[in-house]
Amino acid sequence: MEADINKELIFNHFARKSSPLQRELIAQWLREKENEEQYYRWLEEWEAAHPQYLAQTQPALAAFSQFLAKNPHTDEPVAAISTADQYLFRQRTIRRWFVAASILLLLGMGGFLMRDQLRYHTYATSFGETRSIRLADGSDVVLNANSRLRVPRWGFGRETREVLLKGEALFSVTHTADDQKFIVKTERKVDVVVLGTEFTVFARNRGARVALNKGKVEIHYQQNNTAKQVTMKPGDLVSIDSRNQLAHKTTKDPQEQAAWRQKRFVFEETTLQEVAYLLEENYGIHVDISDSTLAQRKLMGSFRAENVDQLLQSISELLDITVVRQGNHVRLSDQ
Amino acid sequence: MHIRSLMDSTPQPYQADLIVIRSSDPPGTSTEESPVHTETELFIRKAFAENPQKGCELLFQRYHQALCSHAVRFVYSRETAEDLVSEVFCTFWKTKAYESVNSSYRYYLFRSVRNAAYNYLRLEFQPLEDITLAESREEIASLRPDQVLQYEEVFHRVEDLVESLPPQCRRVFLLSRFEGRKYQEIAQELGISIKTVEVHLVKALSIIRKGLKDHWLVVMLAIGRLFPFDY
Repeated sequence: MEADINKELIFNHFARKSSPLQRELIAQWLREKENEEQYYRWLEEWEAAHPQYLAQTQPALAAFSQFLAKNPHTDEPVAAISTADQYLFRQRTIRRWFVAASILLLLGMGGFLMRDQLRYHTYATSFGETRSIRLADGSDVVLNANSRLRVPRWGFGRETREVLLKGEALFSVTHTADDQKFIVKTERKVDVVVLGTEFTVFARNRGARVALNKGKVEIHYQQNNTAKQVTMKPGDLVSIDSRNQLAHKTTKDPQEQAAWRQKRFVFEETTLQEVAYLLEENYGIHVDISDSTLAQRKLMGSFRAENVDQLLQSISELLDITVVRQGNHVRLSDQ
Repeated sequence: MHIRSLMDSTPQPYQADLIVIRSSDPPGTSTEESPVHTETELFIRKAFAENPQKGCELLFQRYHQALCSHAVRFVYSRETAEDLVSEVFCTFWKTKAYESVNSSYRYYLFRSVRNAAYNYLRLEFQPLEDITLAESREEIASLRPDQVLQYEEVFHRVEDLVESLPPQCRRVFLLSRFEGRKYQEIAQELGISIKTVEVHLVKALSIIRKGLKDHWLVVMLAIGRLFPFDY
Protein backbone atom coordinates (compact mmCIF):
# COMPACT_ATOMS: atom_id res chain seq x y z
CA MET A 1 0.00 0.00 0.00
CA GLU A 2 2.80 2.39 0.83
CA ALA A 3 4.18 2.08 -2.64
CA ASP A 4 0.99 3.78 -3.84
CA ILE A 5 1.89 6.95 -2.03
CA ASN A 6 4.11 9.18 -4.07
CA LYS A 7 4.90 12.81 -4.42
CA GLU A 8 2.38 13.31 -7.18
CA LEU A 9 -0.44 11.92 -5.11
CA ILE A 10 0.47 14.02 -2.09
CA PHE A 11 0.83 17.14 -4.25
CA ASN A 12 -2.58 16.42 -5.69
CA HIS A 13 -3.86 16.03 -2.19
CA PHE A 14 -2.52 19.45 -1.16
CA ALA A 15 -4.10 20.89 -4.28
CA ARG A 16 -7.41 19.30 -3.28
CA LYS A 17 -7.42 16.80 -6.08
CA SER A 18 -7.48 13.63 -4.00
CA SER A 19 -10.39 11.27 -3.67
CA PRO A 20 -11.74 10.10 -0.32
CA LEU A 21 -10.21 6.69 -0.98
CA GLN A 22 -6.82 8.22 -1.65
CA ARG A 23 -7.12 10.30 1.50
CA GLU A 24 -7.81 7.15 3.46
CA LEU A 25 -4.67 5.61 2.01
CA ILE A 26 -2.67 8.69 2.91
CA ALA A 27 -4.05 8.65 6.44
CA GLN A 28 -2.92 5.07 6.87
CA TRP A 29 0.43 5.83 5.37
CA LEU A 30 0.84 8.78 7.76
CA ARG A 31 0.66 6.56 10.82
CA GLU A 32 4.37 5.97 10.40
CA LYS A 33 6.38 8.85 11.74
CA GLU A 34 8.88 8.42 8.92
CA ASN A 35 6.12 9.02 6.45
CA GLU A 36 4.95 12.10 8.26
CA GLU A 37 8.49 13.45 7.89
CA GLN A 38 8.25 12.82 4.19
CA TYR A 39 4.84 14.43 4.15
CA TYR A 40 6.16 17.70 5.59
CA ARG A 41 9.07 17.65 3.22
CA TRP A 42 6.67 17.50 0.31
CA LEU A 43 4.49 20.08 1.98
CA GLU A 44 7.42 22.46 2.17
CA GLU A 45 8.22 21.81 -1.45
CA TRP A 46 4.62 22.30 -2.45
CA GLU A 47 4.32 25.55 -0.52
CA ALA A 48 7.46 26.78 -2.26
CA ALA A 49 6.01 25.90 -5.65
CA HIS A 50 2.54 27.26 -4.90
CA PRO A 51 3.01 30.07 -2.40
CA GLN A 52 -0.12 31.80 -1.19
CA TYR A 53 1.94 34.96 -0.98
CA LEU A 54 5.55 35.95 -0.52
CA ALA A 55 6.28 36.69 3.10
CA GLN A 56 8.74 39.40 3.98
CA THR A 57 11.36 37.09 5.44
CA GLN A 58 14.16 39.62 5.83
CA PRO A 59 12.43 42.09 8.20
CA ALA A 60 10.91 39.19 10.12
CA LEU A 61 14.33 37.61 10.42
CA ALA A 62 15.76 40.88 11.70
CA ALA A 63 13.05 41.01 14.36
CA PHE A 64 13.71 37.39 15.27
CA SER A 65 17.47 37.99 15.57
CA GLN A 66 16.70 40.88 17.86
CA PHE A 67 14.50 38.63 19.95
CA LEU A 68 17.28 36.06 20.15
CA ALA A 69 19.79 38.70 21.25
CA LYS A 70 17.41 39.99 23.92
CA ASN A 71 16.61 36.54 25.30
CA PRO A 72 19.96 34.82 25.61
CA HIS A 73 20.06 31.45 27.28
CA THR A 74 22.06 31.71 30.46
CA ASP A 75 24.20 28.76 31.40
CA GLU A 76 22.51 28.56 34.82
CA PRO A 77 19.22 26.92 34.10
CA VAL A 78 16.08 28.13 35.85
CA ALA A 79 15.71 24.73 37.46
CA ALA A 80 17.83 25.90 40.43
CA ILE A 81 14.79 26.99 42.41
CA SER A 82 14.79 25.38 45.85
CA THR A 83 11.97 23.13 46.91
CA ALA A 84 10.87 25.69 49.54
CA ASP A 85 10.60 28.33 46.88
CA GLN A 86 8.73 25.93 44.74
CA TYR A 87 6.30 25.22 47.54
CA LEU A 88 5.77 28.94 48.13
CA PHE A 89 5.38 29.46 44.45
CA ARG A 90 2.80 26.75 44.24
CA GLN A 91 0.94 28.16 47.25
CA ARG A 92 0.90 31.54 45.61
CA THR A 93 -0.26 30.12 42.33
CA ILE A 94 -3.08 28.29 44.04
CA ARG A 95 -4.13 31.43 45.87
CA ARG A 96 -3.94 33.39 42.68
CA TRP A 97 -6.10 30.85 40.93
CA PHE A 98 -8.52 30.97 43.83
CA VAL A 99 -8.80 34.75 43.61
CA ALA A 100 -9.19 34.56 39.86
CA ALA A 101 -11.91 31.94 40.22
CA SER A 102 -13.76 34.03 42.83
CA ILE A 103 -13.64 37.11 40.64
CA LEU A 104 -14.88 35.10 37.70
CA LEU A 105 -17.68 33.68 39.81
CA LEU A 106 -18.72 37.14 41.02
CA LEU A 107 -18.56 38.52 37.51
CA GLY A 108 -20.54 35.57 36.30
CA MET A 109 -23.22 36.03 38.94
CA GLY A 110 -23.35 39.76 38.36
CA GLY A 111 -23.57 39.16 34.66
CA PHE A 112 -26.32 36.63 35.21
CA LEU A 113 -28.36 38.98 37.37
CA MET A 114 -27.79 41.90 35.04
CA ARG A 115 -27.99 39.87 31.89
CA ASP A 116 -30.93 41.78 30.51
CA GLN A 117 -29.29 45.12 31.14
CA LEU A 118 -26.10 43.80 29.61
CA ARG A 119 -27.69 42.21 26.62
CA TYR A 120 -30.30 44.79 25.81
CA HIS A 121 -30.59 48.48 25.42
CA THR A 122 -33.96 50.05 26.08
CA TYR A 123 -35.13 53.19 24.39
CA ALA A 124 -37.92 54.88 26.29
CA THR A 125 -40.00 57.94 25.62
CA SER A 126 -41.77 59.95 28.28
CA PHE A 127 -45.26 61.37 28.01
CA GLY A 128 -45.73 63.56 25.00
CA GLU A 129 -42.33 62.71 23.51
CA THR A 130 -41.65 60.92 20.23
CA ARG A 131 -38.27 59.68 19.22
CA SER A 132 -36.59 58.37 16.06
CA ILE A 133 -34.14 55.51 16.38
CA ARG A 134 -31.96 53.85 13.81
CA LEU A 135 -31.21 50.23 14.66
CA ALA A 136 -27.97 48.38 13.96
CA ASP A 137 -29.38 46.78 10.80
CA GLY A 138 -30.40 50.15 9.36
CA SER A 139 -34.08 49.82 10.23
CA ASP A 140 -35.79 52.95 11.45
CA VAL A 141 -38.15 53.09 14.36
CA VAL A 142 -40.20 56.05 15.50
CA LEU A 143 -41.29 55.58 19.06
CA ASN A 144 -44.50 57.24 20.19
CA ALA A 145 -45.00 58.73 23.62
CA ASN A 146 -44.79 56.61 26.77
CA SER A 147 -43.31 53.63 24.93
CA ARG A 148 -40.34 51.38 25.43
CA LEU A 149 -38.37 49.50 22.82
CA ARG A 150 -35.81 46.93 23.89
CA VAL A 151 -33.12 46.02 21.36
CA PRO A 152 -30.07 43.74 21.68
CA ARG A 153 -27.14 45.86 22.78
CA TRP A 154 -24.51 43.96 20.82
CA GLY A 155 -26.26 43.89 17.48
CA PHE A 156 -28.70 41.37 16.19
CA GLY A 157 -27.88 37.69 16.20
CA ARG A 158 -27.46 35.48 13.21
CA GLU A 159 -30.93 34.00 13.21
CA THR A 160 -33.45 36.76 13.67
CA ARG A 161 -33.66 40.42 14.54
CA GLU A 162 -35.82 40.67 17.63
CA VAL A 163 -37.05 43.72 19.48
CA LEU A 164 -39.51 44.00 22.34
CA LEU A 165 -42.06 46.78 22.24
CA LYS A 166 -44.32 48.14 24.92
CA GLY A 167 -46.29 51.05 23.61
CA GLU A 168 -46.54 52.26 20.07
CA ALA A 169 -44.04 52.58 17.28
CA LEU A 170 -43.70 52.90 13.55
CA PHE A 171 -41.21 50.49 12.04
CA SER A 172 -39.50 50.84 8.73
CA VAL A 173 -37.58 47.60 8.45
CA THR A 174 -34.72 47.13 6.01
CA HIS A 175 -34.51 43.92 4.11
CA THR A 176 -31.25 42.07 4.68
CA ALA A 177 -29.45 40.11 1.97
CA ASP A 178 -29.94 36.84 3.83
CA ASP A 179 -33.68 37.38 4.39
CA GLN A 180 -33.23 37.69 8.11
CA LYS A 181 -36.58 37.99 9.84
CA PHE A 182 -37.43 41.00 11.94
CA ILE A 183 -39.66 40.21 14.89
CA VAL A 184 -41.45 42.71 17.04
CA LYS A 185 -42.34 40.98 20.26
CA THR A 186 -44.87 42.42 22.64
CA GLU A 187 -45.71 41.51 26.20
CA ARG A 188 -49.17 40.61 25.00
CA LYS A 189 -47.87 37.50 23.29
CA VAL A 190 -48.53 39.10 19.95
CA ASP A 191 -45.49 38.92 17.72
CA VAL A 192 -45.10 40.60 14.39
CA VAL A 193 -42.80 38.78 12.00
CA VAL A 194 -41.52 40.67 8.98
CA LEU A 195 -38.92 40.59 6.30
CA GLY A 196 -38.75 44.21 5.25
CA THR A 197 -41.60 46.63 5.33
CA GLU A 198 -43.24 49.56 7.03
CA PHE A 199 -45.84 49.12 9.70
CA THR A 200 -47.13 50.45 12.98
CA VAL A 201 -47.41 48.41 16.14
CA PHE A 202 -49.52 49.44 19.07
CA ALA A 203 -49.29 47.29 22.19
CA ARG A 204 -50.64 48.65 25.41
CA ASN A 205 -52.70 47.27 28.23
CA ARG A 206 -56.03 47.72 26.53
CA GLY A 207 -55.05 45.86 23.38
CA ALA A 208 -52.76 45.62 20.42
CA ARG A 209 -52.99 46.93 16.92
CA VAL A 210 -50.86 46.47 13.85
CA ALA A 211 -51.24 48.52 10.70
CA LEU A 212 -49.30 47.65 7.60
CA ASN A 213 -48.18 50.28 5.10
CA LYS A 214 -45.95 48.29 2.77
CA GLY A 215 -44.72 44.73 2.35
CA LYS A 216 -46.03 41.71 4.18
CA VAL A 217 -46.05 40.72 7.81
CA GLU A 218 -47.24 37.82 9.90
CA ILE A 219 -48.85 38.23 13.28
CA HIS A 220 -48.29 35.42 15.74
CA TYR A 221 -50.63 35.58 18.70
CA GLN A 222 -52.12 33.47 21.42
CA GLN A 223 -55.79 32.79 21.67
CA ASN A 224 -57.15 30.47 24.32
CA ASN A 225 -53.63 29.16 24.82
CA THR A 226 -53.17 28.14 21.21
CA ALA A 227 -50.69 29.81 18.95
CA LYS A 228 -52.31 31.37 15.91
CA GLN A 229 -51.06 33.42 13.06
CA VAL A 230 -52.45 35.73 10.46
CA THR A 231 -50.78 37.21 7.40
CA MET A 232 -51.37 40.86 6.63
CA LYS A 233 -51.44 42.70 3.32
CA PRO A 234 -50.70 46.39 2.91
CA GLY A 235 -53.61 48.46 4.16
CA ASP A 236 -54.66 45.85 6.68
CA LEU A 237 -55.30 46.79 10.25
CA VAL A 238 -55.33 44.04 12.82
CA SER A 239 -56.40 44.78 16.34
CA ILE A 240 -56.41 42.45 19.28
CA ASP A 241 -58.35 43.41 22.36
CA SER A 242 -57.48 42.80 25.97
CA ARG A 243 -58.95 39.30 25.84
CA ASN A 244 -56.83 38.50 22.77
CA GLN A 245 -59.78 38.54 20.39
CA LEU A 246 -58.55 39.41 16.94
CA ALA A 247 -60.20 41.72 14.43
CA HIS A 248 -58.90 41.96 10.89
CA LYS A 249 -59.96 45.08 8.97
CA THR A 250 -58.68 47.07 6.07
CA THR A 251 -58.09 50.76 6.30
CA LYS A 252 -58.05 53.14 3.42
CA ASP A 253 -55.01 54.82 4.71
CA PRO A 254 -52.70 52.81 6.94
CA GLN A 255 -50.35 55.83 7.09
CA GLU A 256 -52.90 57.49 9.34
CA GLN A 257 -52.00 54.95 12.01
CA ALA A 258 -48.71 56.73 12.32
CA ALA A 259 -50.15 60.22 12.15
CA TRP A 260 -48.80 60.83 15.62
CA ARG A 261 -45.42 61.02 14.01
CA GLN A 262 -46.32 64.37 12.49
CA LYS A 263 -48.04 65.41 15.71
CA ARG A 264 -51.32 64.90 13.94
CA PHE A 265 -54.30 63.23 15.46
CA VAL A 266 -56.66 61.36 13.20
CA PHE A 267 -60.04 60.39 14.52
CA GLU A 268 -62.35 58.22 12.52
CA GLU A 269 -65.54 57.56 14.40
CA THR A 270 -63.40 57.53 17.50
CA THR A 271 -65.35 57.74 20.72
CA LEU A 272 -64.42 60.26 23.36
CA GLN A 273 -63.67 57.33 25.64
CA GLU A 274 -60.97 56.17 23.23
CA VAL A 275 -59.58 59.67 23.04
CA ALA A 276 -59.42 59.61 26.81
CA TYR A 277 -57.34 56.41 26.66
CA LEU A 278 -55.10 58.02 24.11
CA LEU A 279 -54.52 61.01 26.36
CA GLU A 280 -53.79 58.73 29.26
CA GLU A 281 -51.37 56.57 27.29
CA ASN A 282 -49.51 59.26 25.47
CA TYR A 283 -49.55 62.12 27.94
CA GLY A 284 -50.14 60.47 31.30
CA ILE A 285 -53.27 62.52 31.81
CA HIS A 286 -56.18 61.12 33.72
CA VAL A 287 -59.42 61.96 32.01
CA ASP A 288 -62.81 62.14 33.70
CA ILE A 289 -65.86 62.16 31.51
CA SER A 290 -68.92 63.45 33.28
CA ASP A 291 -71.42 60.94 31.85
CA SER A 292 -71.51 57.86 29.68
CA THR A 293 -73.46 59.36 26.78
CA LEU A 294 -70.75 61.95 26.44
CA ALA A 295 -68.14 59.19 26.52
CA GLN A 296 -69.81 57.56 23.53
CA ARG A 297 -69.80 60.71 21.37
CA LYS A 298 -67.72 60.22 18.31
CA LEU A 299 -65.05 62.39 16.77
CA MET A 300 -64.16 62.67 13.10
CA GLY A 301 -61.31 64.50 11.46
CA SER A 302 -57.65 65.08 11.57
CA PHE A 303 -55.96 67.82 13.43
CA ARG A 304 -52.55 68.96 14.39
CA ALA A 305 -51.58 69.66 17.94
CA GLU A 306 -48.14 70.44 19.27
CA ASN A 307 -49.12 69.61 22.81
CA VAL A 308 -51.92 68.28 24.91
CA ASP A 309 -53.50 71.67 25.56
CA GLN A 310 -53.89 72.32 21.85
CA LEU A 311 -55.48 68.90 21.49
CA LEU A 312 -57.89 69.50 24.37
CA GLN A 313 -58.74 72.88 22.92
CA SER A 314 -59.59 71.27 19.57
CA ILE A 315 -61.72 68.61 21.21
CA SER A 316 -63.52 71.19 23.24
CA GLU A 317 -64.33 73.23 20.14
CA LEU A 318 -65.28 70.20 18.07
CA LEU A 319 -67.75 68.70 20.51
CA ASP A 320 -68.69 71.95 22.14
CA ILE A 321 -67.92 70.69 25.60
CA THR A 322 -66.17 72.13 28.63
CA VAL A 323 -62.64 71.02 29.33
CA VAL A 324 -61.14 71.72 32.72
CA ARG A 325 -57.53 70.79 33.27
CA GLN A 326 -55.92 70.69 36.67
CA GLY A 327 -52.41 69.37 36.45
CA ASN A 328 -52.71 65.82 35.21
CA HIS A 329 -56.45 65.68 35.68
CA VAL A 330 -58.82 66.69 32.96
CA ARG A 331 -62.57 66.82 33.31
CA LEU A 332 -64.78 66.77 30.26
CA SER A 333 -68.39 67.74 30.70
CA ASP A 334 -71.37 69.00 28.72
CA GLN A 335 -71.82 72.68 28.84
CA MET B 1 13.64 22.30 -6.24
CA HIS B 2 14.76 24.94 -8.68
CA ILE B 3 11.68 26.87 -7.65
CA ARG B 4 12.83 26.82 -4.09
CA SER B 5 16.09 28.39 -4.96
CA LEU B 6 14.28 31.00 -7.00
CA MET B 7 12.16 31.84 -4.00
CA ASP B 8 15.07 32.50 -1.73
CA SER B 9 16.83 35.70 -2.53
CA THR B 10 20.05 34.48 -0.93
CA PRO B 11 20.62 30.81 -1.64
CA GLN B 12 22.38 29.10 1.20
CA PRO B 13 25.25 26.73 0.60
CA TYR B 14 23.39 23.82 2.19
CA GLN B 15 20.71 24.09 -0.39
CA ALA B 16 23.06 22.93 -3.06
CA ASP B 17 23.61 19.65 -1.18
CA LEU B 18 19.96 19.39 -0.62
CA ILE B 19 19.13 19.58 -4.28
CA VAL B 20 21.61 16.86 -5.13
CA ILE B 21 20.25 14.54 -2.48
CA ARG B 22 16.66 15.20 -3.34
CA SER B 23 16.91 14.89 -7.08
CA SER B 24 18.49 11.49 -6.79
CA ASP B 25 15.44 10.22 -4.89
CA PRO B 26 12.87 8.65 -7.11
CA PRO B 27 9.44 9.45 -5.73
CA GLY B 28 7.64 6.74 -3.88
CA THR B 29 10.58 5.23 -2.08
CA SER B 30 9.86 7.13 1.08
CA THR B 31 10.55 4.36 3.54
CA GLU B 32 14.10 3.79 2.42
CA GLU B 33 15.17 7.39 2.63
CA SER B 34 14.73 8.07 6.33
CA PRO B 35 18.39 8.89 6.92
CA VAL B 36 18.12 11.55 4.26
CA HIS B 37 15.69 13.63 6.33
CA THR B 38 18.27 14.63 8.78
CA GLU B 39 20.89 15.08 6.10
CA THR B 40 18.90 17.83 4.41
CA GLU B 41 19.12 19.76 7.63
CA LEU B 42 22.61 18.62 8.40
CA PHE B 43 24.08 22.00 7.79
CA ILE B 44 21.65 23.65 10.17
CA ARG B 45 22.17 20.92 12.75
CA LYS B 46 25.86 21.59 12.66
CA ALA B 47 25.22 25.28 13.10
CA PHE B 48 23.07 24.52 16.14
CA ALA B 49 25.84 22.48 17.66
CA GLU B 50 28.26 25.38 17.31
CA ASN B 51 25.96 28.28 18.04
CA PRO B 52 22.24 27.79 18.69
CA GLN B 53 21.47 31.40 17.89
CA LYS B 54 23.01 31.10 14.46
CA GLY B 55 21.18 27.83 13.96
CA CYS B 56 17.85 29.45 14.78
CA GLU B 57 18.48 32.24 12.34
CA LEU B 58 19.35 29.83 9.57
CA LEU B 59 16.28 27.79 10.31
CA PHE B 60 14.13 30.88 10.26
CA GLN B 61 15.52 31.97 6.93
CA ARG B 62 15.02 28.55 5.49
CA TYR B 63 11.44 27.86 6.53
CA HIS B 64 9.83 31.23 7.17
CA GLN B 65 8.36 31.68 3.69
CA ALA B 66 6.92 28.17 3.42
CA LEU B 67 5.47 28.27 6.94
CA CYS B 68 3.85 31.68 6.45
CA SER B 69 2.40 30.61 3.13
CA HIS B 70 1.00 27.53 4.80
CA ALA B 71 -0.37 29.28 7.90
CA VAL B 72 -2.16 31.88 5.80
CA ARG B 73 -4.26 29.13 4.23
CA PHE B 74 -5.87 28.68 7.63
CA VAL B 75 -6.11 32.19 9.02
CA TYR B 76 -6.35 34.25 5.82
CA SER B 77 -4.43 37.06 7.40
CA ARG B 78 -0.87 37.81 6.44
CA GLU B 79 -0.19 39.50 9.74
CA THR B 80 -1.63 36.71 11.84
CA ALA B 81 0.19 34.06 9.81
CA GLU B 82 3.52 35.80 10.28
CA ASP B 83 2.84 36.35 13.97
CA LEU B 84 2.01 32.69 14.46
CA VAL B 85 5.16 31.59 12.65
CA SER B 86 7.35 34.00 14.62
CA GLU B 87 5.78 32.81 17.82
CA VAL B 88 6.57 29.21 16.99
CA PHE B 89 10.20 30.16 16.38
CA CYS B 90 10.34 32.11 19.65
CA THR B 91 8.97 29.14 21.57
CA PHE B 92 11.42 26.92 19.77
CA TRP B 93 14.20 29.11 21.14
CA LYS B 94 12.81 29.70 24.63
CA THR B 95 12.13 26.06 25.37
CA LYS B 96 15.39 24.97 23.74
CA ALA B 97 13.34 22.58 21.71
CA TYR B 98 16.22 22.26 19.24
CA GLU B 99 18.06 20.23 21.87
CA SER B 100 15.32 17.71 22.34
CA VAL B 101 13.85 17.45 18.86
CA ASN B 102 14.59 14.00 17.56
CA SER B 103 12.67 14.45 14.34
CA SER B 104 13.70 16.87 11.66
CA TYR B 105 13.29 20.56 12.44
CA ARG B 106 10.93 20.72 9.50
CA TYR B 107 8.70 18.16 11.14
CA TYR B 108 8.66 20.12 14.39
CA LEU B 109 8.06 23.47 12.73
CA PHE B 110 5.32 22.39 10.36
CA ARG B 111 3.48 20.53 13.07
CA SER B 112 3.75 23.47 15.46
CA VAL B 113 2.64 26.04 12.92
CA ARG B 114 -0.28 23.92 11.74
CA ASN B 115 -1.31 23.38 15.31
CA ALA B 116 -1.01 27.07 16.17
CA ALA B 117 -2.99 28.07 13.09
CA TYR B 118 -5.64 25.50 13.84
CA ASN B 119 -6.02 26.68 17.44
CA TYR B 120 -6.09 30.31 16.39
CA LEU B 121 -8.82 29.62 13.92
CA ARG B 122 -10.81 27.67 16.42
CA LEU B 123 -10.64 30.29 19.12
CA GLU B 124 -11.61 32.94 16.62
CA PHE B 125 -14.46 31.12 14.96
CA GLN B 126 -15.70 28.89 17.70
CA PRO B 127 -19.40 29.20 18.27
CA LEU B 128 -20.27 30.71 21.62
CA GLU B 129 -20.09 28.01 24.19
CA ASP B 130 -21.70 27.55 27.54
CA ILE B 131 -19.86 27.44 30.82
CA THR B 132 -19.43 23.70 31.05
CA LEU B 133 -17.66 23.73 27.73
CA ALA B 134 -15.59 26.77 28.63
CA GLU B 135 -14.17 24.93 31.64
CA SER B 136 -12.68 22.26 29.50
CA ARG B 137 -11.57 24.75 26.92
CA GLU B 138 -7.99 24.66 28.05
CA GLU B 139 -7.85 20.94 27.74
CA ILE B 140 -9.32 21.20 24.30
CA ALA B 141 -6.89 23.90 23.25
CA SER B 142 -3.98 21.65 24.05
CA LEU B 143 -5.38 18.79 22.04
CA ARG B 144 -4.27 18.25 18.52
CA PRO B 145 -6.43 16.65 15.92
CA ASP B 146 -5.52 13.00 15.93
CA GLN B 147 -5.05 12.89 12.20
CA VAL B 148 -2.63 14.89 10.14
CA LEU B 149 -5.17 15.16 7.36
CA GLN B 150 -7.65 17.01 9.55
CA TYR B 151 -5.53 20.12 9.09
CA GLU B 152 -5.89 19.90 5.34
CA GLU B 153 -9.60 19.46 5.79
CA VAL B 154 -9.80 22.67 7.78
CA PHE B 155 -7.92 24.89 5.39
CA HIS B 156 -9.71 23.40 2.42
CA ARG B 157 -12.95 24.22 4.16
CA VAL B 158 -11.82 27.77 4.84
CA GLU B 159 -10.83 28.13 1.21
CA ASP B 160 -14.24 26.91 0.09
CA LEU B 161 -15.98 29.34 2.39
CA VAL B 162 -13.92 32.30 1.22
CA GLU B 163 -14.57 31.19 -2.35
CA SER B 164 -18.29 31.06 -1.64
CA LEU B 165 -18.51 34.70 -0.55
CA PRO B 166 -20.19 37.08 -2.98
CA PRO B 167 -17.49 38.83 -5.05
CA GLN B 168 -17.63 42.26 -3.45
CA CYS B 169 -17.87 40.77 0.01
CA ARG B 170 -14.85 38.57 -0.72
CA ARG B 171 -12.86 41.52 -2.02
CA VAL B 172 -13.54 43.50 1.14
CA PHE B 173 -12.75 40.48 3.30
CA LEU B 174 -9.40 39.85 1.59
CA LEU B 175 -8.40 43.51 1.59
CA SER B 176 -9.18 43.85 5.26
CA ARG B 177 -8.02 40.55 6.57
CA PHE B 178 -5.29 39.37 4.24
CA GLU B 179 -3.84 42.75 3.33
CA GLY B 180 -4.61 44.22 6.74
CA ARG B 181 -6.01 47.41 5.20
CA LYS B 182 -8.03 49.94 7.16
CA TYR B 183 -11.79 50.28 6.58
CA GLN B 184 -11.26 53.81 5.36
CA GLU B 185 -8.79 52.70 2.68
CA ILE B 186 -10.99 49.85 1.51
CA ALA B 187 -13.99 52.15 1.32
CA GLN B 188 -12.02 54.59 -0.82
CA GLU B 189 -10.57 51.96 -3.08
CA LEU B 190 -13.87 50.26 -3.78
CA GLY B 191 -15.91 53.45 -3.75
CA ILE B 192 -18.26 52.31 -1.02
CA SER B 193 -19.09 53.64 2.42
CA ILE B 194 -17.28 52.54 5.56
CA LYS B 195 -20.58 51.27 6.84
CA THR B 196 -20.85 48.99 3.81
CA VAL B 197 -17.33 47.73 4.40
CA GLU B 198 -18.34 46.79 7.92
CA VAL B 199 -21.48 45.09 6.70
CA HIS B 200 -19.47 43.02 4.20
CA LEU B 201 -16.99 41.99 6.87
CA VAL B 202 -19.63 41.02 9.37
CA LYS B 203 -21.30 38.98 6.69
CA ALA B 204 -18.07 37.28 5.59
CA LEU B 205 -17.13 36.38 9.14
CA SER B 206 -20.56 35.07 9.91
CA ILE B 207 -20.53 32.89 6.79
CA ILE B 208 -17.14 31.49 7.74
CA ARG B 209 -18.19 30.97 11.34
CA LYS B 210 -21.34 29.23 10.22
CA GLY B 211 -19.43 27.12 7.74
CA LEU B 212 -16.90 26.00 10.28
CA LYS B 213 -19.49 25.32 12.95
CA ASP B 214 -20.12 21.77 11.83
CA HIS B 215 -16.43 21.07 11.81
CA TRP B 216 -15.92 22.24 15.40
CA LEU B 217 -18.98 20.31 16.40
CA VAL B 218 -17.46 17.13 15.07
CA VAL B 219 -14.18 17.87 16.83
CA MET B 220 -15.99 18.77 20.06
CA LEU B 221 -18.01 15.61 19.98
CA ALA B 222 -14.90 13.56 19.42
CA ILE B 223 -13.25 15.25 22.38
CA GLY B 224 -16.42 15.01 24.42
CA ARG B 225 -16.17 11.28 24.11
CA LEU B 226 -12.65 11.37 25.50
CA PHE B 227 -13.51 13.75 28.33
CA PRO B 228 -17.14 13.32 29.27
CA PHE B 229 -18.34 16.47 30.99
CA ASP B 230 -19.55 16.11 34.56
CA TYR B 231 -22.66 18.01 35.45
